[in-house]
Amino acid sequence: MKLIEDILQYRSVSVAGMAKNVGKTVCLNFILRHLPCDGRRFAVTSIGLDGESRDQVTGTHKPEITIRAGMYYVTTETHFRQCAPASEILDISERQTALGRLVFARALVSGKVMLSGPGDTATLRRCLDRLQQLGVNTTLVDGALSRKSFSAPTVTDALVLATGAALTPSVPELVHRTKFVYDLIALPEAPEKWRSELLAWQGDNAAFNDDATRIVDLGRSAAAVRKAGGKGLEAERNVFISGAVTDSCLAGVFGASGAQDRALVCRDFTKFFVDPMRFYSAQRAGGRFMVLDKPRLIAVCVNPTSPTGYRLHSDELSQAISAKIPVPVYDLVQYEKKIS
Amino acid sequence: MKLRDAIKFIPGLEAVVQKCSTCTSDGLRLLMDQEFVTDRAVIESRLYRLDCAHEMTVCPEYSGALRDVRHQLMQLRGCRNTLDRLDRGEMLDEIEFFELKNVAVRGSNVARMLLGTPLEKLADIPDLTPALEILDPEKTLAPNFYLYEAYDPRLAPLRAELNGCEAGTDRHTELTLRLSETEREVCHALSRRLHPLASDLSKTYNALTDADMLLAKASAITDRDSRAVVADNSPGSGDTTVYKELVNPAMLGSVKHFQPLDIRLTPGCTVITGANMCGKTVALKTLALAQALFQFGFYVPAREAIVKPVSRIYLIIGDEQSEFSGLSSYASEMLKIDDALKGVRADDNALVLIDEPARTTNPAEGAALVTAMVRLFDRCRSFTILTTHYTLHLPGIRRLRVRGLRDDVPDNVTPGSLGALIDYTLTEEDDSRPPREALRIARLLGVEDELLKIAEENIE
Repeated sequence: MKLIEDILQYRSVSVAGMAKNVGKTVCLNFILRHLPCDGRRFAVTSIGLDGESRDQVTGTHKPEITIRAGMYYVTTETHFRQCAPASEILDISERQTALGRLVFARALVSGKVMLSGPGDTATLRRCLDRLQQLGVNTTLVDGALSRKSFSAPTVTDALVLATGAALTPSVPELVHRTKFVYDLIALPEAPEKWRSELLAWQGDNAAFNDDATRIVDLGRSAAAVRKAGGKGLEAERNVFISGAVTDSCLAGVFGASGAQDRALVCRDFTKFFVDPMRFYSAQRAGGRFMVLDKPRLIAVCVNPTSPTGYRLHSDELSQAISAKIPVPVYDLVQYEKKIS
Repeated sequence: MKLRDAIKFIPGLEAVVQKCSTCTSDGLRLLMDQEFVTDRAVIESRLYRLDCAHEMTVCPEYSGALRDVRHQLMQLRGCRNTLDRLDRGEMLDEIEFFELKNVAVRGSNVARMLLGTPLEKLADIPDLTPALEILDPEKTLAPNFYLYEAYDPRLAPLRAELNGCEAGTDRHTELTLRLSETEREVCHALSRRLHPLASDLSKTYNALTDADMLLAKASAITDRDSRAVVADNSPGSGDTTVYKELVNPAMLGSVKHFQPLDIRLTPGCTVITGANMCGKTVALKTLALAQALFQFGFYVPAREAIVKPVSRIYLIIGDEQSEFSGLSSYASEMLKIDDALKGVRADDNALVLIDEPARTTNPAEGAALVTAMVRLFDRCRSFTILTTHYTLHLPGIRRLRVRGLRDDVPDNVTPGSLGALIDYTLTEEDDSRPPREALRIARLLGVEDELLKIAEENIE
């Protein structure tokens, strides 16, 4: 299957859901089931908490992560003790997470695991490096876009996006919202000169000139950006937002007259918390959006069933999304039914 | 007093501690829990251990062993709770067995790597063969752990059957439960077998974290540091503390021209005088730092040093104002001096460092108070160093003076370059008048001429 072949090309792939119950765990389990048994080593971990037997928000049944014998996984001490198949422990992290240290393990038998991985992207990066040292070829990271502050999709080499009817029962609306996330994912990386200067930038939000030779600190708040934007930001016409990009930021950067063709740069697409209409409106007026880290989207997986029982037509939904997003779109449940 | 408490009031101590990069969190904890030692023999022993670690870090022949040992220590995982639980005979789980095997494997590796090095005899690692026979039945010495099939004949067939069974079926669930129960029995049996080895494993863990701490301390030693000779501190011994080329590590990094200090401390009170900007306060801070480093088992930042252990350091310096307790700087300072005086009367073997006491009150009463302090502290055997600008009549009291501005100072100096034109040497002096260089320094700093002229007229 092309999805699996694509995943095998990367050292790490995050599976990110656009919301709860959009089928991210189904997608992850599908991938874990279909990974080849050819001696290559695979690992799975999570950013934050997952693998709950029951969804904490809706109370609905939620599939658990099932791994095969020989697979590697990283979870916290608490969840390793609660739910893990017989395993060989390979390492334990020195640092603590909220649920104890991270346990690096290899399953001796197949079974269910409760995944709760690193709580921040820096630790996730170290975790991926450690797994590579242990000889793991590809690591899957269970991460959600709804966990606002985490950027698992940008720490990993590639991304699989899960979307589904849980988001909305309307196909056009679902397509629109998925397309918006895709547009954010597809934002171009800033030019190398900007990138190197802004990655080294230690301050807060900043305005900078076209050569990135002058960078002016604007302070942390969106209000400060708005105030600076109102004054014209003259030579330092481009803006770097160090944290979340909000509607207020957009208004600040692009709101002033003659400011429509500025560039707004942020760390990565997960930092956008903006109304799609405002985003597209700024873009149409000439505003340029860029990121410092751009993930590689390899597929979109759709779940046409919502936890409330609403069911969209699988093929229609897949085709509608395919028409707007130029990456492979899969309904994995449907796919498994067909091949069985 | 522990090192973690001392860094709060000895300026510069935290910076030295931060240079000690430990490989383990318990190594750092051990370092921060070091006690301020007053016993001469214990200080000697600590310094001897540091000598060995230092030799290991500087001799090229040990560089390979040092790198390997550090690598092992970096892989060591904190397991104090697990060792306590094992000692209490509680049932451990796989994570805890992993930790114990980690200790046994790292301990055995480090003991082997230290053979023939200066730390060989210091790292008291017991024979770990019995622990490894249990925790490493496959004899791989790999630091991983699982409930090996060798522990129980039921494990292998259960795992094999489970792997051949489809997940989610009733059979899979039943096998999973049976395996889980068997593993629990294995954990129970393993815990019982390991319980008698709790002491050896604990000793190994302590030896490893101790080696980590020692190597971290040794790695922070610079070319400017030296191992102090421990002076006799027995009652009535009358020994002194002597530093040659004592420096303040913090000043080395921030000041272009830091002149090392030669100083001898004698029992009783010594008064230091000198113009402003001549380094009196820095000298007191440096003395406190060197004394603390010595008694926490570090080398001292001096070319040579003979240091007498003291029971306590009193450093009364700077703005002691405590707005929260409602005390003025004067009141706060006086209370601290009173505390020091009571302290040395109770245990007369302290280092008391007082910077310009009573400078914030009126000069007449201030001078009288300082005279009284000098007299009282001089009756004690403790080392007291007091700096002042007051003119005091103190016959029989030892005085030191910072030489101050050199004679050949040009007129066109900038405030930043003034430090280089000061001779910070301390000289013994009989004159009771403090040096009068305040106006000269102010003039060199570019202070308005009219102000200085009026001041001069007033002096005349």
